[in-house]
Amino acid sequence: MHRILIVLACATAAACATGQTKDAGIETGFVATVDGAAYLYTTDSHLSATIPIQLQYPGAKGSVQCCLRLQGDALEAPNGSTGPVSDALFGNPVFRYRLKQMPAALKGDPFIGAVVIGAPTATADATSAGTILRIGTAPSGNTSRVETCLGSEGSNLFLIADGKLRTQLYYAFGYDVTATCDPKLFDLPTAQ
Amino acid sequence: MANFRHPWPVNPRTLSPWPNGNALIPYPVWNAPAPLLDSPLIAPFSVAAGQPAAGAGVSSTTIALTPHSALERSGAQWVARYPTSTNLGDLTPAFSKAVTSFIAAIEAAGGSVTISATYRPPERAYLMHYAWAIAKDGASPASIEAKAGVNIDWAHLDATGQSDPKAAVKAASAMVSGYAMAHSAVLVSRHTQKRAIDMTISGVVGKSVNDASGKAMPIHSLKDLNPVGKSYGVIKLVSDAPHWSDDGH
Repeated sequence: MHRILIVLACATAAACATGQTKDAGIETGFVATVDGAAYLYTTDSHLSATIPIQLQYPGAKGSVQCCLRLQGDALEAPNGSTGPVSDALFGNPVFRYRLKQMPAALKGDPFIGAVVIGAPTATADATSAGTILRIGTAPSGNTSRVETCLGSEGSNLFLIADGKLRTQLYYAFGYDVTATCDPKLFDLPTAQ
Repeated sequence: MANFRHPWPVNPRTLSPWPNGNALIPYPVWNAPAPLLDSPLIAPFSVAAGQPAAGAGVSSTTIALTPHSALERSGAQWVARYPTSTNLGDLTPAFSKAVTSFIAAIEAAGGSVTISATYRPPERAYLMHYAWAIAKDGASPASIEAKAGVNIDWAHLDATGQSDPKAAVKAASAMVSGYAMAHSAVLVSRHTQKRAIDMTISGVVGKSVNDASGKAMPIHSLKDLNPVGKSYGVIKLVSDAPHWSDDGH
């Protein structure tokens, strides 16, 4: 009986497909521009046409701005990605969506930024130089956030709610950089 | 190509920031006007890292210089050169052996491993670092340090030795785009030292992987592989999901 209940619960929650719970349907991902196209990487392979999507975009002199607002219908159908992004927390598959049209704000130099999926608003933390996006409130009333930092050869992206890690994605650059990550981020408890 | 002996004893392993003792030479020396370089190179120069420290163990070194007429201008054509290896044989022998054993244990447990990087040539790191410096950070193309073995003309010199800064910045920008760089690259890493590997491991969660002593270690999440890797001498860097090295850096 217990097993049946679990199956029924999972049937109504897409998050069960990846074996993890999500915060009110909020998900995160990377946006990257390569060779004149923009791509969104996330572990969710079934983004609806109406789901709100907010993308960071490049500002002047290397700054990062928040956020371009799109909907799911701005994306092409996803491809399973063996590319630069991986799920560092659960090892789940990552899917790549190409944007149907390249937003003007993303044109220009290669860019990698954070994406918030499923939240009506996301705002840049004023003190974080673009590395933290605040997202509404978690069920407890605490603010959820997406935080990014550099490892030694890629970008880490964390979705954190109620002090717990919900998602951790990693974008491998293919070259070595100067790391900026606070090691404490990797010690956060994982939401189950 | 002429050989040039440094005017004072230098221990490149002490003074050079490059692995394997590769020395840096101030760019203007490499790109001196052609008439000077038509004759044997005997003019003194300084190694970028500075004078030998007092009391430091020193030895002499010979550096091959290339006349600027033999240099190739910077540009996107450089991007495909010095590619990153995915071959375990390109790692140091000790680390290669350790990684091979670790991967064998993962595969014996039913997991799979996809290697995305082992050795990254320091020449590639040099090209990426200075392309970014010129294109993004405003570095003067004529001031870029040369690197032995990379015959690149960052400054786009003409026959009289005059730089074309506009063309140089444009060419460096093309390299940054070609490398798809979003950040500056560092010059030295465990990858350039043949001491690191990037690999994606899958199919092991819920299984057990034998550590180096043969003990079966249950893997409930990918983090549980860290002590297993350590037992083989393959150390996880937690800030970079695919990255393992011989010292955790």
